[in-house]
Amino acid sequence: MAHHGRRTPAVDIHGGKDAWTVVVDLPGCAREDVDLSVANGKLVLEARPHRPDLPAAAVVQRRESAGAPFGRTLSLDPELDTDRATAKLDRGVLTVWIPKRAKEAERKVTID
Amino acid sequence: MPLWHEQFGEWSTLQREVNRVLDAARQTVDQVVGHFTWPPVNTWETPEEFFVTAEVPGLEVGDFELSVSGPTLLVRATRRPPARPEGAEEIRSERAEGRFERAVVLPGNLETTNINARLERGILIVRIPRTSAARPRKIVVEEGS
Repeated sequence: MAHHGRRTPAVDIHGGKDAWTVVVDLPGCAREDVDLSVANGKLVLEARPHRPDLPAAAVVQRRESAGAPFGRTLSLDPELDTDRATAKLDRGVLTVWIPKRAKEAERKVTID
Repeated sequence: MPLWHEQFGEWSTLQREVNRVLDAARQTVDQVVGHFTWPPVNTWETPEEFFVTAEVPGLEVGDFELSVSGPTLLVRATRRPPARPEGAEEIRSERAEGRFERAVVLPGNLETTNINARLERGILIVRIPRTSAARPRKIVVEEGS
């Protein structure tokens, strides 16, 4: 927990041959609650979860989660092409898919 | 102006009271198995209902098994790891996975035969109504004749 009142979401990253998959737990968040950006080769994530849909009069009795905002910055492989990244949020899990840059085909230089 | 030891005396009474309240709260939600406490659980109440919420991103309704045993609500589920592309290397693995079980001690005045659970944006919401005897009732006050 780097900042007061902000929490670090759990992240899984898988590096494949052609792409990275970044999976982030963001319970309580919908698509519009998540800000995702890339700056200086880093993936920057900010998200603000909703309060669960309970009666307005509901008073918290026992609290293990304060529902604080999420924040995380992840270093990316320079090989990744962030311009082509795609992301989806499903049941409070964000999945970001970032392809690697297409490598230029190796050219053979003929020696005469 | 009270003497310092009088102030200190007041302070330790307050501290004892705070500790007592915190200990009582800690016993309400108890970890049963597992090497870490997952998922985080909150409990909420209104005069009519009691709610248990748990942060369970990625899970579906069918992944859960809820049961009540005596005064305890048991929440069990299995969380599968995400699909990994073939040959992919694990760069980071922080998300909880596997079987988990949490036990929540319920207050005594609930209708535990009438439990309802739903998922909302990766949060499990369990709702239990209070018994009709425990729910607040309005008593009509009539004008004397």
